[in-house]
Amino acid sequence: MSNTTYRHARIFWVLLSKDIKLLTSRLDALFLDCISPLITQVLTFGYLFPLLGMPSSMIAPVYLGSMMTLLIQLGFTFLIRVAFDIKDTHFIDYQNTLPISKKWLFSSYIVSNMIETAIAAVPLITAGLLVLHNHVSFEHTSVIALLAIIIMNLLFFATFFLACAIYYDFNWLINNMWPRRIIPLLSLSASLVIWSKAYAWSPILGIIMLFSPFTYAVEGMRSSILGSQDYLSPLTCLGALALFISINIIVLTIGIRKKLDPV
Amino acid sequence: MLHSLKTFFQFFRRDWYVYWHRNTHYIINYGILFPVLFSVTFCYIQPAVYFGANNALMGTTVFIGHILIIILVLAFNLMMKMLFDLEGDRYINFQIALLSPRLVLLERIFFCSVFVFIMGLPFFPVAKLLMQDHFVTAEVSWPIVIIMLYLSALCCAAYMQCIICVINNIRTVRRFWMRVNFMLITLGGLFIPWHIVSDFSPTLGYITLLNPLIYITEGLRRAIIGTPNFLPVTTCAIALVVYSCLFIMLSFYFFKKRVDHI
Repeated sequence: MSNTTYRHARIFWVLLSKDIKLLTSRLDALFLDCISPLITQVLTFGYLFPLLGMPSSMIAPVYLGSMMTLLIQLGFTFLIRVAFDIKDTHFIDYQNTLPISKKWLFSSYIVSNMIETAIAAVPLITAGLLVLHNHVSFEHTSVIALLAIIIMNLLFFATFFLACAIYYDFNWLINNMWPRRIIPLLSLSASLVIWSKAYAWSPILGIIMLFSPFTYAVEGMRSSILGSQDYLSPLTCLGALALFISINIIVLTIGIRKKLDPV
Repeated sequence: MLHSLKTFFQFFRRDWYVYWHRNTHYIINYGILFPVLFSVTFCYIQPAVYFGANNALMGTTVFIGHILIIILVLAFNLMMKMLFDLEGDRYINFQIALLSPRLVLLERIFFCSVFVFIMGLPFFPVAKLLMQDHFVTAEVSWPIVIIMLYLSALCCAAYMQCIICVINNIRTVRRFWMRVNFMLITLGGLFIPWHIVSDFSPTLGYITLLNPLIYITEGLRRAIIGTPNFLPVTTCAIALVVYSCLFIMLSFYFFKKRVDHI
């Protein structure tokens, strides 16, 4: 390892340690934040929708899809934190003066957010699946595929929200992020429906859904946990997520150059 | 009195002038994007996948609840400016020097409710144009829908004003949305009508009746679909007025606590 890389890695580690230390101090608050959405989603999709006529075979996949909203909420919080810092606090300006390349600096943001989201969301999503154990079968769960999908999902959400936080202005984000970015991507995705069934009902909408990264995020979770042929294969989802992550990184790079590079 | 009233409407005019200049993006977001996306998802795809084809009534029931998101998000968006103001320029200090603080708060609630109401108006007509028979409106009473829509906007504006007066800083906003609003929205009839919740658990049904948002979704469902399994419109309208008054009183109290340092 060259001297420069070693120095960058060391500062990266220090930044990450600082974030993790901060995270541990507000872990209980983070759990409390996530418990309310978990309870309501389990209740709505696990118990109330079947009373409305939804087949019980759909409880597990739809519950997994509904958990996308939790990941989005956590991601949006991260986005507001970063965007507010750029607009007001300017802590990022101090970090810019550190002897670390931007690539390493923003990697620390991404990894820190991935850790935070994983700690908050994974145990709660698992708890929800355990509550709904009568409707979930773990017989066909592929642990390796699931781990890969979880990591790619975390990476996708971290890069997506970081790219948006840096690329757009704070006021634009407050007014337009939900109606113009999140809601279209979420509504026209397979998060609340199963993609194969949506495609069977309307092939055009099925194809449109394939343009939303959330479709792959949720279908990957479904296929790796529930293991049925009804969902897109984990390999397809991993490939598509890798493509969307690359797009996020390109947008992030443009955003950094546009907003944070004074030269 | 006349002078206060004049100042009240001058402030209203000023707010209207400021926000109407940004109307294009509000109309695109709340008048077009939300109704189009929500109607495609919740009126067309979701009912077909969950309940099978020919289930327009279910689709309509689920879709109507989603107006909650538009009303709450827009009301919050408008009221959020007050939170920024309280933490920053404190333009409100100038306003309360000219007009009684209660009237300043009332003006903001009144403006917010009118603006949210106008932005919410296209929601159902756009969905009807787009979804045709998938959006069931055979029993609809449009005047009642309009009245319910305004009362919903008023209640949400008062609720948000009250919350903004309670919240100490911008950082608490996320906590408030995740811990409180998410539960209120989901159990406020976003997807599921009240009678299903009550069938599932009568206790939960009674608890849900304490949620003001349930009266918005139930009242609008009753006004559009017209079947008697939703709460009556009169009950919902009265509940919304009562809740609006309660939130207005609470916002007076919390605002006084916040700005009065003596």
